[in-house]
Formats: sequence, C-alpha cells, structure tokens
Amino acid sequence: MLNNKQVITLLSPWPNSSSPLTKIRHMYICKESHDNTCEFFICTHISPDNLNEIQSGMVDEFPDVTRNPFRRPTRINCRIVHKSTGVDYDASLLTTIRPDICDELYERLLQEYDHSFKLVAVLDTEAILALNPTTTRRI
Amino acid sequence: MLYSTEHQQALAGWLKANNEKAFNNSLKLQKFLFFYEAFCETFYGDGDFNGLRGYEKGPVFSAVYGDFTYDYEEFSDKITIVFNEGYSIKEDIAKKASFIVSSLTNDELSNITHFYDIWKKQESAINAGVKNITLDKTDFTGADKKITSQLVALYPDGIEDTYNIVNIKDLYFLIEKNNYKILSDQHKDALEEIAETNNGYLHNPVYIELVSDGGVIIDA
Repeated sequence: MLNNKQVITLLSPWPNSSSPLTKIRHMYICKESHDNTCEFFICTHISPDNLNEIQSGMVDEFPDVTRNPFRRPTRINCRIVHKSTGVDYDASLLTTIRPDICDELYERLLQEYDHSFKLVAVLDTEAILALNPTTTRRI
Repeated sequence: MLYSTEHQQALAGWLKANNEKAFNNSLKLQKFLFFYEAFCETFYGDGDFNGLRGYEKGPVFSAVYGDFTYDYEEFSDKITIVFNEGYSIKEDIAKKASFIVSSLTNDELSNITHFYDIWKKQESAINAGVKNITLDKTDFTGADKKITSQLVALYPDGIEDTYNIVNIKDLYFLIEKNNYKILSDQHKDALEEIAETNNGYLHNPVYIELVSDGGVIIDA
C-alpha cells in the first residue's frame, strides 16, 4: 500500500479509442491510503496556452528535485480526488527522480483541496489492473 | 520595394532556411519574430521591437507582414541573400522560437502573445478597431519577462535536437527522435484517432511514446 505523498505513474485507456493499445499516462500523488482504498491527486503537464491561467484549486510546480519528481512543469489538480479501491500498487510504479513530494507541497495540496468543492472521482479498478501489469488485485 | 529591416530579413531568412513550413505560415513567421525578440530582451536585454504593431491576433512586425503579403518573391529572395551574408543571429534563441511556433496552432500562438503586457497595454484600442498601433518596448514588463522564462522552461534545452514534431489536425505530437524510427502505419492510425477524438482534452504540444506492439502512450 502506498504512503501519503508518494507519487506513481499509471496508464489509463484513451477514451473513445477503437484500440486498447492507445493509452494515456499520468502521475498520481497519494493524498491518503487506508484499508483497501487510495486517494490521489492527478497531475498533468503544463502547456503553453494554459501557462498564464490562475485557477483556484490548481497548484503549479516546476521541476525541483528538492520538492517533486517532475521532469516537466506540472499542474496538480486539487479540486478532485481520484479514488482507487481494491488495487495494490507496487513500488515499481513510484516515480524515479524521487518517489514522493516534499512535506510543504503536500500540505499545500491538502489545503487547496479543503478549500475546494472536494469532488471525488472513481478510478476504474479493472482498467488499472489491465493496463498496469505490476498492480495486483487487493481483497 | 521592401520595408523590413536587415535584422528582420536575416531572421526571416534563418526561418526560411531552417523551418520553411513555419516561414510560409504568415502568423507563425510573426510569432517567431516576436518570440525571438522577447527571448533576447528577457535573457540578454537587447530585444528589437522596432516596427512592432498591435493587432487582434497579437503583435505584428507590420513591415515584414507587408513584404511577405505583397512582395513575397522579392522578400523571399532578399532574406536568403541577407541570411547567407552571415548576419549575426543568436542561433539558440532562433532554434527555440522556431520549435515553439512549430508545436502550437495559430490560435494558441495568438493566445500566448495576448498574455504579454506589451500587447495588453493597447488591448482596448485594438479591440475598438484602431489600426497600426505601435507597441512600445518600455511596455515589455517584468511580468513579460517572467512569462517568457516560463514559456522557455516548457521547452527544455536541446528539445529541438531530440524531438520530432508530427502535426495531425489541431494536435502537434512530440516524438523522441530515436523512438520515431519505429513509427508504423498502426501508430499513424492511432495518432489520427487521437487527433480526431481529442475534444479539447489534450493541449499542445502532446508528448507521445510509440510502443513496439503498435500502441501509443500519451504522456499527459
């Protein structure tokens, strides 16, 4: 089971794809894990056309090995937690530059979430298990 | 008769020699010139914004626009001559600006230039339809330098040499050059489908990894 602040990389299906071979890869930051459940914040890379957007509930981080495992400027969505149930995440999924984020960043993400509408999305267990071979089903 | 300066002709000549596709897109030529000067101003303090005007789609070097639009052949020949004469250009800056304009749509490039104070200062007049508004170098603010630094940070050093750009519909895919060697018809079909079904979820540029089984991974 993951620890708070740890960061993994997961593959998901590309929606509406006619091929199961088209996948999308995101980093996920573990907000908390307990019992059979992990909750994550999802990360996406910042693009030039949304560079100047200031959105509440979003935290931008530039690569900084003292703070995060990112190779590219990254936006962390703190408006939504992505909830995963019944999946055991292997350590091989942890990011390699560093396996987690720093305490200060983690606290900031929690604050942003607390001030948001606290939306929850459910991750597709079967899709995760199918596309990420080092994950296993957790009973 | 041409109205662009030798400096502008040299830059346009560089773009034509190194990225002809971008050169022949009038808007991308303009954004290349603007970003080149914005990068020079931010990192060297010597940006040349002479002749810059404000229009709806962002800053425009109007003399270059006029030469490109109304005297294309003469302009095209002249810029090649000027470039080949060895006019001094900051090569790294030009390569970066060229790569950036080749990785985004025209609308995205316009939107980015709208972030800049040097343009926003005149936004009301531009939107009111006033023509030929001069954009002043003194309006290139510290905030503009910050935007420029952040934009450059999105394109790491050497990216121009390590990634290919593939443009399908409104998406610009970045594929690492060694990985690009395995591009197959199956990969191409997958990229076409991604471009077809994107619906605004992915923003340019889109980093892609080609998998040997014919699959594609979008690095979002």
